[in-house]
Amino acid sequence: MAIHETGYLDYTELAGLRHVPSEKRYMQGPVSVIECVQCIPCNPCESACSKNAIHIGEPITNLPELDEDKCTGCGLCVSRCPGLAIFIVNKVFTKTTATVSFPYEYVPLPKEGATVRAVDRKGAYICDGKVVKIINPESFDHTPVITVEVPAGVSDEVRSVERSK
Amino acid sequence: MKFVILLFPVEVVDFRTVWHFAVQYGMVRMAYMNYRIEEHAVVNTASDTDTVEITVDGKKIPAKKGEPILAALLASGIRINRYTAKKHEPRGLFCGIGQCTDCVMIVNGRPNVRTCITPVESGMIIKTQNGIEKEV
Amino acid sequence: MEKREVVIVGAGPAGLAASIEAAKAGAQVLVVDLNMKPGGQLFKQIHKFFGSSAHHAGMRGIDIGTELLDEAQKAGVELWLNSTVIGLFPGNKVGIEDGSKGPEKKLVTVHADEIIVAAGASENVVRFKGWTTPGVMGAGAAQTMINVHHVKPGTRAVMIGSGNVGLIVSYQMMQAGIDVAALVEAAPKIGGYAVHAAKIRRAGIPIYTGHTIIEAVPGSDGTVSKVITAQVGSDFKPVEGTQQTIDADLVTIATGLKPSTELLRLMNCELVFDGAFGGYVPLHNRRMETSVKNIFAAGDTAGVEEASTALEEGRLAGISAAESLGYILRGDAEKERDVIWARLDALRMGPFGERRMIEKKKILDEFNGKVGTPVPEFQEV
Repeated sequence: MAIHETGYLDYTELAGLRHVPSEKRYMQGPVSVIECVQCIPCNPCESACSKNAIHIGEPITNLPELDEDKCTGCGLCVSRCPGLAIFIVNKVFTKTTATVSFPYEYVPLPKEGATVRAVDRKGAYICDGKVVKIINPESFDHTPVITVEVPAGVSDEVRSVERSK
Repeated sequence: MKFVILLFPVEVVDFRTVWHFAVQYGMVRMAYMNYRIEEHAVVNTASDTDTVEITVDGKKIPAKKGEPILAALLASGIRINRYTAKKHEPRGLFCGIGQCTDCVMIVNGRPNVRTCITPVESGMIIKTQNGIEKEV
Repeated sequence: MEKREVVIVGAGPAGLAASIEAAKAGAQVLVVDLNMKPGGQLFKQIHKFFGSSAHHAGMRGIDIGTELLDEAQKAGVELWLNSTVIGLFPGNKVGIEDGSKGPEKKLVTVHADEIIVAAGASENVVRFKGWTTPGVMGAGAAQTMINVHHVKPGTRAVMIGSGNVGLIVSYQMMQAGIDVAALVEAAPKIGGYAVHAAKIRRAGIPIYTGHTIIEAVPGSDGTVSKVITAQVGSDFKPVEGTQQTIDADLVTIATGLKPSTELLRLMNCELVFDGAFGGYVPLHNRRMETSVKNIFAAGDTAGVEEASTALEEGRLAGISAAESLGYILRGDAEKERDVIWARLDALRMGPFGERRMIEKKKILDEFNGKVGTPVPEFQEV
């Protein structure tokens, strides 16, 4: 896996390695994309999901499997993953735009409605995006989840935003 | 910040005199780099510990009561703790857990104090250590 | 001379977990730590832990540390902070520079029926030109300053080492407002978890595998101001003509840890060199007892692993020390140990843990073959 040398995967490689949501499921609304590709003992995502849509079982080194039909894209798993490796993608936010929700543990947090610079898995600038929502309840234990609106075509690439100083 | 208009001809007064004058009379705020982390996504950096004053090589700097001496020094941008005996080379924070002795300084007259694990106390007098025991 | 039933060196996850088990069983426990705060490495770990959600996974290290401390205090564990164990002496005597009663330290000897050494590990260094320049430090030192004392030891960093410490501390430096200009790793592959690497790449930190630092250049104030990197070949030697200069006032070294076994050496415990665990480690049995009777080891001292394994090994040592004192029956202790060993096996699964699982078995086997039963090394003087 290229990730061992570079620290990131591109989406086609990710999709080749493991289950990602089907196009059909993407067209139904927000869904979880679990970018966890290494077998390490870890299973908080399984207990995070209130719909039982994530399965790891035993041994806990198994990669998480998502039942895309049970997944409602609620985003609880995003803040619970210690590896910050889960994202919610909504490819049908509007006719031309999608949203990507990701964990963001930096300050300052951007403001809802603000324009931000969306970046891909290697931190490269992709496009400007608009912050649609930021959720940061106490139950997320200091892992706010930011939802950014971007053109639909880049929803498989955008995974974070540039930090503001 | 008040502005002072100087009417002296340039040949008579040089910039350093003007600067000294301005600083002396508080017209220019000397901002020093503050290395304290004021805001953080995960840890609570708000502190209810008292701020105390310690003296480092004659200069007074603020410190938080009970933090390691070295943290207070770093907060004021002081990164050199001592000089080596033979080659007079600077040393500073290295291991941070009291094992390497690169951070030792003279504290209240006592040399070889590991500043990374020794808590600050109000009024402490700290000096850069030169060699094994002596003051700089 | 003072007397305690159990003396534990180190108040990190292993030491605290051991103290809780021993104290709960009824033993009189003293924990000694040279730091001003207990918790060892836990209070620097502000990230969420992996592992099983049944055991602390998803919790931040700092919160696990607070819980442990609470439990230890409730169990009646005695804790001396700012106190260094300066040696272990014949007859199970523990020499302590006691700084827990005030700024003036006193030398105290404590006789302990059982001693658990949970002294952790210390960082390795890489000696490039200028490595002694102020501003060059262990990654752990930077981590302590930013996460525990909320102070930045620099403003722009180059990290060397791509194991989990290098990856996590790079992330935490960014959280603290320090720019991380680059992470260099001499090996051709990233050593730590892919997800840790992914989150720092998302934040724009370049990772240069097959690279190393060849010089840290001081500026006019005598502290680091530039870092020179170079590519390395498969022999890990710098390649001519590949030098690059990076502006940075901070270099953090994360090139591995080695177990702190000095106290075990003083008691003549059998040690063996094991690269998977970072260096010399004590031979021990399933009770975490070393080749010397009544001397136990747990956590990184017994082999560099993780906080989760340190917690479990600490529990093993605490239960076994209490068993040696007669507070737990052998049968009950065996049952509890089996449960903990099963958890340790689960933690040591997968591509990252496998090697450690194999090496731990080797240590247990070598102990059985070479030592068999721990013997008292010294007689009462």
